Formats: sequence, C-alpha cells, structure tokens
Amino acid sequence: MKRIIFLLGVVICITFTAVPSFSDDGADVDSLIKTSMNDVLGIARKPSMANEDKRKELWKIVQKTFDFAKITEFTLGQFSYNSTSALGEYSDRRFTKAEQEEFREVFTRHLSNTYLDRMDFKNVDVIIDLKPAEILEAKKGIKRAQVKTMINKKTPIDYILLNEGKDWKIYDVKVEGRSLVSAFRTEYKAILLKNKPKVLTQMLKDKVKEHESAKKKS
Amino acid sequence: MKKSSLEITVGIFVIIGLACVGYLTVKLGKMELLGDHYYNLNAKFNSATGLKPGSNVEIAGVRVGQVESISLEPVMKIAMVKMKIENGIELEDDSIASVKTSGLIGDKFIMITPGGSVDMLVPGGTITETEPALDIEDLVSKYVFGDKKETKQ
Repeated sequence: MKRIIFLLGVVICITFTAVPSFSDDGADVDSLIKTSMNDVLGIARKPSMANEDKRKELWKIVQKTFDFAKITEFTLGQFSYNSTSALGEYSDRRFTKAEQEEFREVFTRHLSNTYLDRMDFKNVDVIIDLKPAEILEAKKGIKRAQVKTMINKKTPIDYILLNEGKDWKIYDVKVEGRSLVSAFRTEYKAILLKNKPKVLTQMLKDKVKEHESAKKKS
Repeated sequence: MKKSSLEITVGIFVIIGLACVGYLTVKLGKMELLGDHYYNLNAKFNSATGLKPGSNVEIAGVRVGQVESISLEPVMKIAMVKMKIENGIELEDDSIASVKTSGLIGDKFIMITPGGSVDMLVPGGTITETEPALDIEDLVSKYVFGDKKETKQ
C-alpha cells in the first residue's frame, strides 16, 4: 500500500513539475517532462535529505508548475464563479470569486496532504516508461497536450497539459484512465447539492487541520 | 349483418394488435418515428470496450441519449463514439464523458458529468475530456497478483 502511495506521490510530483514554456510542440513537452522527472526522482532519492525536507522541496516544484486555479475551476464545474450554467434553485451554491480563491488555497493544501505527505521515500526504484507527447486539439486558442506513462510496467498514468500562452501547465492526471478532476468534481457536486460553498471549504479546512495535527503528533 | 359486425370487431382487434406490436418494436428497438429529437455529439476514448451502439448516455443516472456508432479513429487508433443527445440538454464544453458499468458486470454506458464552462457544445461537437472503460479483470489481477518483484523480495 505504501508503495502504491509512494508511486502516486512520485507521479503527482512529476505531474506538478511540468514545464516552462517554449514555442510549443510535443518534443518540447517531452524533454521538459523528462527533466522534471529527473528532478523529482533526484530529490526523492537523496539519501542525506530528511523526508520532511524532501517534501518541502517537492512542494516548491509543485506550487511553481501546477495550475491550481484551473484545476479548481474544472473541479467546481458549474459551481465555479465564472460559470454561466444555470443552477436554478441551487443558485446560492455558486462560488463568489473570493470564496473560490479561498477554496483553491485549501484544496491545494488538501491535495498536498493527500499525495505528498504520504510518501515514505523507501521505495524509489520506479521504472517509468514515457510515451511521446500528443498534441491535442486546441480549445478556444488554448493549446493542449497529453503525456502517457507506464509506471513499473503496470500502472498507466496520463498527464493532461494546457498552455494559455505563457507556460505549459498540467490540469488533470488520469490514473488507470480515471481522472483526478472528474473524481473530485463528482464528490464535491454531491456535497454542494446539500450545502453552500462555505460549508465545503470549511469541511476541507477541517480535514487539513486534522491531518496537520495528526502529523505533529506522529 | 351479424357476420359483418363480427368481421369489423376482429379487424379492429387485429389493427390494435398490430399497433401494439409496432409500438413495442419502436420502444424496445429504441427507434425514432416522428421527427428528430436528438443532436449528435462525439467523444474520443482510449478504450470503448463493452460499449455498443444503443448503449445509454446518462447524466446523474437519467438517460439523455444513446450511443449511435463506434468507430476507430484512423490516426490515433482510438475509439470515436458518436452519441445522440436529446434536444434541450445543453452541455458545457468542459463536460466529462466516462464509460461506466451498471453494477460489477452490467452493461456499459456513458456517464456525462456536466462542467461549468461559459461555452456550450454545439451539435456535432466533441467532448474532449473523457475517461475510458475500466478493465475490472485487469484491476483484479493487479490486486490479486500485485507486484511480483516485490513479492519475491
């Protein structure tokens, strides 16, 4: 189990480490992803570094390269502040811009807790089979790409990236074809149909607080 | 007179019977008789295993259309699924289409999770965010046999 969590952690880190922008095209994405993988594995394999320091280093890469605003927007879907989808009697469930920003912060923290903090760094002998990047159909002028990998010859993990003109960013990860955004969107929609946005944010805050206090105790 | 009214009654019953057969044929075959109440959407999947023409398309468990055809996209060698969605069901362009299974061994269907984009999908449009069919057997075998290398160690 720990091994699986570690692999997922590495994968998420690798995902998060993508990519400063170049002109575009698959070759650039490929080389950047490879560099990012090496960086992440380099940190994970440092024998002299304490685990907590490793997590901090990985988290820096994560924050720099992962588009949390976009993943928050996609996760909230019709409840996002910039969505125009009709919500009918649930119109009070739409986030305001300020609420969404607050949610983004706590959601980011929650993702970090879920993946990074569970890495134990004991099993770092991962075999990553990286497939060439595929440039997907652009949407509204936003370039999109997909990179497929196979971890230890058995777990397929795909990264979906977008480039809004500045940098390539990853906005979704698919493990065994299951999308991170889709999973959270379904889960949070169920909560938002019963509760207002503030309640969802508070629930996540409580989870984060609980996790951090448990971490301190251990 | 009596004979002709008997014939008329039998005729009426035959017509009612035929109408019932016709109705059942249309209903069970999921055919359309009058007008076109659907518009088409496409979705590309890495795998559409188990999905077939006529499979349901659902939102929140409610049937909103059906799979019209499944073909192989020649360039990327992935599955191109053409769906018929009921008119009046508008979908955002960041909606996610997932191939799901009814229960553990039930029929495959497509579940659409609506998004929140300002732009809506137009007839003939393509859902870009998709999740392929999950291979339960594959997952079970991975769970059962695990990492052989790890076991040896």
